[in-house]
Amino acid sequence: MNPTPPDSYTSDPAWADLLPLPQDDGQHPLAQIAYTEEYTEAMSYLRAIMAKNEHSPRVLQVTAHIIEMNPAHYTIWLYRAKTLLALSAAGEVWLGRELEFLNDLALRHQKNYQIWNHRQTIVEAVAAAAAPAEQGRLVREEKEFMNIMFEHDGKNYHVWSYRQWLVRRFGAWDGELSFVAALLERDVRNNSAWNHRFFVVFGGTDAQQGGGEEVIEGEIRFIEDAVFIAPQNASAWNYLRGVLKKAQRPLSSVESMCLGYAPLDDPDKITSSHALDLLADIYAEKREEHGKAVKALELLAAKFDPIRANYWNYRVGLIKAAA
Amino acid sequence: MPQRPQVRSTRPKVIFTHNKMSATSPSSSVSSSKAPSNPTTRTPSTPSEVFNDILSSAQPPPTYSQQTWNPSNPYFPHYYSQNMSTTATSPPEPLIPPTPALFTTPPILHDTLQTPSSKDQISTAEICMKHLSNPSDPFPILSRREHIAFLEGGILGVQNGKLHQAMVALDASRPWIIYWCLQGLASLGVDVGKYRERVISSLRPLQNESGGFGGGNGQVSHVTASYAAVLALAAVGRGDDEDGEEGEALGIVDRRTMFHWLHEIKDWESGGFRVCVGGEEDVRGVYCALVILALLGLPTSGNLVKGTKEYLGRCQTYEGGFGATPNGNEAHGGYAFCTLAGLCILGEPAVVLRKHLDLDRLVSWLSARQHAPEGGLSGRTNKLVDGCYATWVGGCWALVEAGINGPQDENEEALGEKKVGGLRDKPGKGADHYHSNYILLGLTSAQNYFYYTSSPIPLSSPGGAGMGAGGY
Repeated sequence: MNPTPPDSYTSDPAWADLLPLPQDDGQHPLAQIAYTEEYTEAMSYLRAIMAKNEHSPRVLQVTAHIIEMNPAHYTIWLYRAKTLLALSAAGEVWLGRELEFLNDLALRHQKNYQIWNHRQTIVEAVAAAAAPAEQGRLVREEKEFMNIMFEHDGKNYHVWSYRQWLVRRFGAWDGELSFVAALLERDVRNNSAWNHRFFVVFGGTDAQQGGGEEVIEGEIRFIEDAVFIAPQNASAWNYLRGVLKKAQRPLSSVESMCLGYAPLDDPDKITSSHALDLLADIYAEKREEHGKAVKALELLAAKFDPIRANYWNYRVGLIKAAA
Repeated sequence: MPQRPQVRSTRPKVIFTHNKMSATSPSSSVSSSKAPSNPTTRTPSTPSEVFNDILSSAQPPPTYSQQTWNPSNPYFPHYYSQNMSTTATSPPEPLIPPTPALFTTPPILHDTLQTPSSKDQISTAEICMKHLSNPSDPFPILSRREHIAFLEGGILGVQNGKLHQAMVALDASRPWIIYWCLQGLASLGVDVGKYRERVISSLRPLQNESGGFGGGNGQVSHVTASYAAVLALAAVGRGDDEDGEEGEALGIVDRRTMFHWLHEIKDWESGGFRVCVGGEEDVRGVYCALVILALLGLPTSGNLVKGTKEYLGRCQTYEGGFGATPNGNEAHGGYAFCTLAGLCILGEPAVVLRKHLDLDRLVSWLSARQHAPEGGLSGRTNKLVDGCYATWVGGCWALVEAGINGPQDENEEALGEKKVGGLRDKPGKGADHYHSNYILLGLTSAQNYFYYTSSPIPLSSPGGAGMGAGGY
């Protein structure tokens, strides 16, 4: 689908009908890039083809060539997508091949927005033409490829965003929880995985899985286990707060768990600054326990998390102002 | 909600007018550094205060090495307590103050379980501790001259007036290179007005007839390229145009077609903005569109921004930070800045920041972004520090502070410096124009006190860091 680019567009008869269009950089341009001849030539032929609004197979050739040299060239990607959709509608290309092209690029360019936006466009088009069973296979294959991406970087923002789009778009919630659990098994501090867990458990915004009492209990047990092996893991504690808020449970419902990691009366045994933080919030809710809240915050400022001393002192100020 | 304690700042003030093309205090007050506090009246009480005082006392030169060590100087209590006995018996020598222990020792709490995240964290912390413990140069003075040379190289080119061919990766981001370098130079006190003509002639071919700027000539209009172009034009300000008349460089922007194009990229269903027609939608799109509207004096209320405040508010996650979209993305420093800045353009900070988000969770999450011992800021929970978050996260503090006069940050950035000029993500990485600009902007946000006024102040000629502060 992406034939090898010619050694020279100028001397290739397949391109002879086009008059290459130069780039207008204006007078004395700033931040001008010393392009290679290869890039300059390919770009000037692409401009020529775009000026004709041509959507033919050779567009795929020149766009793939430029993307190889500069994968962040969004204009090229948009033109390629338009061409692919036109050719696919005419039955001249099979879009599945484009996904293979994207797999290779995504693995080589981890921090790129365009590849994933393009992938979304293509997958939408493939799905629109597919029977339900084929859609299922498409989603499965997409997830399999993302798993390979996550093996390289379990926190790749673009891949996670794409996964959330895919899961919601195709209602592909099945298996997501065990997938997240496996990632957390590998790295319990992978905050992206925790974030995805929240997305899955609470079904994004449409509360697809609701989160009944049983679900909440299960999540709290999961958090307890995670905190037990790494008490100083901020991801798990942030998630705990998120779950409690979503379930409309008071913070005080986890007081005893917090005390296990932050016994206020025995500061030498404190193993988690996050437990202290949570205790401070629990005790700040009741006036008669303000003293304990202040103590927790002072421990944080002086000893257990001094880089945030100003924040902890600010919280002490809030408590004193409320008194 | 309890009354928030008011925190008075001694940092230089940067005024900007809500929702108006920026007005700033005279650039001298913007670029001048905080005067060292009088050691006889105030003793720093927390490690971060000590750190901040050391940093602020270093500007302007003389440098530490030119100071004579005085054991009674309360600036350096760590050294004082450790070295009293030796300094009492030997004559005082010129010394560099030691780094507070917070930045030279691992955190007091650490789990025994090792995972990929904790291994990355430990190795980064070790590199930073090595730099911060370096007795000859723990907090290097900003190498102003070298950074100026590096950033000038970004716009003027390094070989035959051009950038190296490897920069082709930024061929769809040329307004960004120009903006990063100009803003970085302005932050260093360079008068960038001298580039006015060339900025105009460089950006003019990037503007499309149907509105907006592309990342290069002939490229589709993109909201981030348009944002960078508008900021670059604003940075070079007023001057004589080709026709001999004096005017704003921003005058080359076709406001009518720009306004029309912004309507094209608006997602009327969600309230968000796409980055280009057919492109991805996230809060970068919203933030860039709103900055363009504000700087061009186009309406930031009305139909075009219908549903946008709510869109931004929905991006807050259970952690307190903001994701790229309201669709469940992870909280991230860059998107947090875009969201907060966007809200502060759409409404009065004190109103919108309370109405559309959970401020307490936000402040908690933001304050957790600073790591010790590294001292730098991270963009997400359990991720590594990176110099550019000095702006993305540090800038959030300026907005939060401007809106509610809340807690002050203690951001600092000392690790990114390289001898040849240019600033970088973290030690071990290469310098680039992006990080150079955002680390300098982060320094600016840590050294200035930002607030807004409700009445417009006439536009003054841009200069120093003020324009950057006015930009958001």
